[in-house]
Amino acid sequence: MTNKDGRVNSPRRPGRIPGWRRALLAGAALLIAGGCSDEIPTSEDGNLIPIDAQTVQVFLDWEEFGRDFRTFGGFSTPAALSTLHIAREYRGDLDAAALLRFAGLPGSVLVRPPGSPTTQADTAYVPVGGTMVVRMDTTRFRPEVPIELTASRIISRWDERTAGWAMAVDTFGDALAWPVPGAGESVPFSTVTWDPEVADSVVFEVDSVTANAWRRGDVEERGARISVNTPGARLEATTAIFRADVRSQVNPDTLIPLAANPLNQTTIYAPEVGVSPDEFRIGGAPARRATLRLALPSRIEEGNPVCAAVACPLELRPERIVYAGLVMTTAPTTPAGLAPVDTLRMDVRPALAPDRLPKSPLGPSVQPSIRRIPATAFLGDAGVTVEVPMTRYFRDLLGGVEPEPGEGTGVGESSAVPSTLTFLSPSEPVSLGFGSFVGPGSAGEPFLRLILTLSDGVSLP
Amino acid sequence: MSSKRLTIALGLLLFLPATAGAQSLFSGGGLGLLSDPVDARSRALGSTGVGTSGWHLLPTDPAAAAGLVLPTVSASAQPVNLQIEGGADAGGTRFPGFGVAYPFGRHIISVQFGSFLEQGWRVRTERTIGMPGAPDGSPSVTTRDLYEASGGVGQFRLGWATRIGSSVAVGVNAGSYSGGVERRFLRELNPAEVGPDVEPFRTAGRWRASGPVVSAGVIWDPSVLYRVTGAVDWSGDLRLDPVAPTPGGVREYSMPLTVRLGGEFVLTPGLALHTGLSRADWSDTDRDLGGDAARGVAWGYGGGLELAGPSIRGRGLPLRVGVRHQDLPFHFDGAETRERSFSFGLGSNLSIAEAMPVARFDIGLERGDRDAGPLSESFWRTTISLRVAGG
Repeated sequence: MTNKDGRVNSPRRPGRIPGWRRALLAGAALLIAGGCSDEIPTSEDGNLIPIDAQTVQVFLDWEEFGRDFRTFGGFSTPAALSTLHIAREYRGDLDAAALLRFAGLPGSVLVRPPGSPTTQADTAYVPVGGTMVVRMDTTRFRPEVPIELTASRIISRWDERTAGWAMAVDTFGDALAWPVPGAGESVPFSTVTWDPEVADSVVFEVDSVTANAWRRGDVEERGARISVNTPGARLEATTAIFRADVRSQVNPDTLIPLAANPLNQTTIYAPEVGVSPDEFRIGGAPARRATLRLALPSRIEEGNPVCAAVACPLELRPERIVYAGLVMTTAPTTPAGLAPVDTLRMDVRPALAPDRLPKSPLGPSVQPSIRRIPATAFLGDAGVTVEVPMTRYFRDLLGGVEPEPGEGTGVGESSAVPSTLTFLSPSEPVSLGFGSFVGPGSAGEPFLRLILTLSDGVSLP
Repeated sequence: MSSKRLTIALGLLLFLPATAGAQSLFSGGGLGLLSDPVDARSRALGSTGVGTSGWHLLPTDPAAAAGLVLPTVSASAQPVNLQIEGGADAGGTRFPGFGVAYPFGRHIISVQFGSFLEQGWRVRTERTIGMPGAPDGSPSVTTRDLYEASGGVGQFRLGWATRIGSSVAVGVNAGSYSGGVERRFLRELNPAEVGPDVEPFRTAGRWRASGPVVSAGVIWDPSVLYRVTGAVDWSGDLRLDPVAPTPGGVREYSMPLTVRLGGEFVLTPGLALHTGLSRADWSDTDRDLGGDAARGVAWGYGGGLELAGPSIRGRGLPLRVGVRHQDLPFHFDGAETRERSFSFGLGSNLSIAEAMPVARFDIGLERGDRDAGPLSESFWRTTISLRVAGG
């Protein structure tokens, strides 16, 4: 088939769209696709918003929401601390000593008798001395002057999990006090002066009596006590090792070095303070916790300052709450030596079985993130306000119960959401120090700060 | 591309965006922006929805399907670019109409979806508010408020049309409102002022639209030189049901009776004049909205010229120009609103089988503006229509 110009037309099937029309279609599709970048017409004139929304704050005093404040201690043990603490009159009131029990030396050593080509097991070797090397951690405590330390041989039976300043053993059915508090009856075997500018480890010479005493691993009345003699000092140690020199009975000219790592270790300290019924104490070793029960009002009654701005009673509905935080005030930690030396991390978790406190299982944290409080907040006069946000938990708590008829209906009684909160350190124990907060009934007691946005919601015109 | 493939492509085109794009800040007035479900050719000719020559599927013109001889699918897409005076540009794509028609002898049965009232706008503002309630006063806090409305009310119609003799066609369609609207409000407080853990306040509502709609129309072709068309839209109350958990009850709004008249007149061979007029009285709707929210009678009128235009490979490429005025029913910020546009367009038969066009493409480009008191906006609106027919 030719056209009027004599050129051959390309064959085309009926119903097919020629090329230029395809291009037209493609252009149309592009045009549509280009217009699909959806940019909604937007105005910045706030007067066009057809909804009234008012944002207010509500402050609730402790007696309006708080119940059953309780404190607990004894969670975990200083033996679980990752470091050993040594102090003398730190901040004027803290003494601490490190206790270590090394694993026993091997039952025998292989020694080549004089003139013999083969070795022979020597079970009668005699420790003649050695050294105890203690590696110090100067991250938090770095003395500016040389410090004098003493290593002593413990001669009393002690249990690393329950030993404290007063008690050597304090297990169920077995209580044994130190003859002298603080394992003071221990026998000093080495005193050294450690200069952190010179070395990161302290080396104590171990005499033969001590080395012999530490030879066996199954004797409870053994171990090392490390104390500091310099007033005001505080140190942390990470590891220790006992290097013994033993003389062979097979070949008495031979001195053989052996080593033992700590089998048990713990820190004992004084004063040993527990919990106070008047304040929140968080952390420490053993760790302390505090609990309270939230009995939220279902509505805000006349008398609250917010009622000057909005009509009261004001219902506390979950959807209205955009922020809820418990405001706490720090208190000076007593003794000051046990105030946190690093940022205190505080978690707040619901007690899932409040009747089983202090052993109740705990739910997930109610805070969006673990609260970090600087150590300085617990020193001096303290009095620093710390706000613990728990907005979503509050919403759940408020939404967990149906409004009940009658006056004074509290929220939290029958809610499926646990209303008892536990304040604790996220890791127990993490340090000797603990943070204190003013408890109910004192100036600076906890209060709730809520931010509510009140609106009738969107509607049709 | 075969017509079957084109049908598939057209179908895919319909589902490109999940939701219709926004078209105007004026959709914030009353129940939304009036959005006639007319096709590209009607847009290009300034039509009010009736009176264009030929046979086609238009929800506003029930009798216009009476002359279709093949099963037909038609759809329109409408990309819009919007310039708001003093504000940011906006844009999006919406789909004003989709229809399927099937002839049973002289009777044409159709199903059509069309747009009606559109909502797609938002307000975003920063302001400083007092936050009372503290024992020691009312501290100021900066808020960022966002109000957003989306969705729209459409219409679903089942239609019948037939020709009576050689010069008259009639049609009726009936259906229901469909779609719905959604509104959201969000307030964020400046975390630097109130603390980092404050959460946004959110509230939202969603409503589903329903309510009967009925249209009837008649086309009179007294000669090949002109056509006159009339159509009437009747509607029961537009009912908006809250969708759980949206609080509140059902809202019902009276909808006006809309009358449309239009015609097309051949001026010279290859040149036709199109003109049209519409009238709707929104007074009852205004009453339901609480007064001072809608105008009384809203007029729409327009017209245009269609020139046979050039021919490419034996197929005509008609050129169209038009102008249109439409009173918008709802006030915006207390002021009456209207829309004016100038338009241009063209069309082409994409495929012809046995002298019967089986695929047709039309495009209409409008430049217009809307104003209400101090607020105005201008727009470029492109309407693209595709029609596929075949057995």
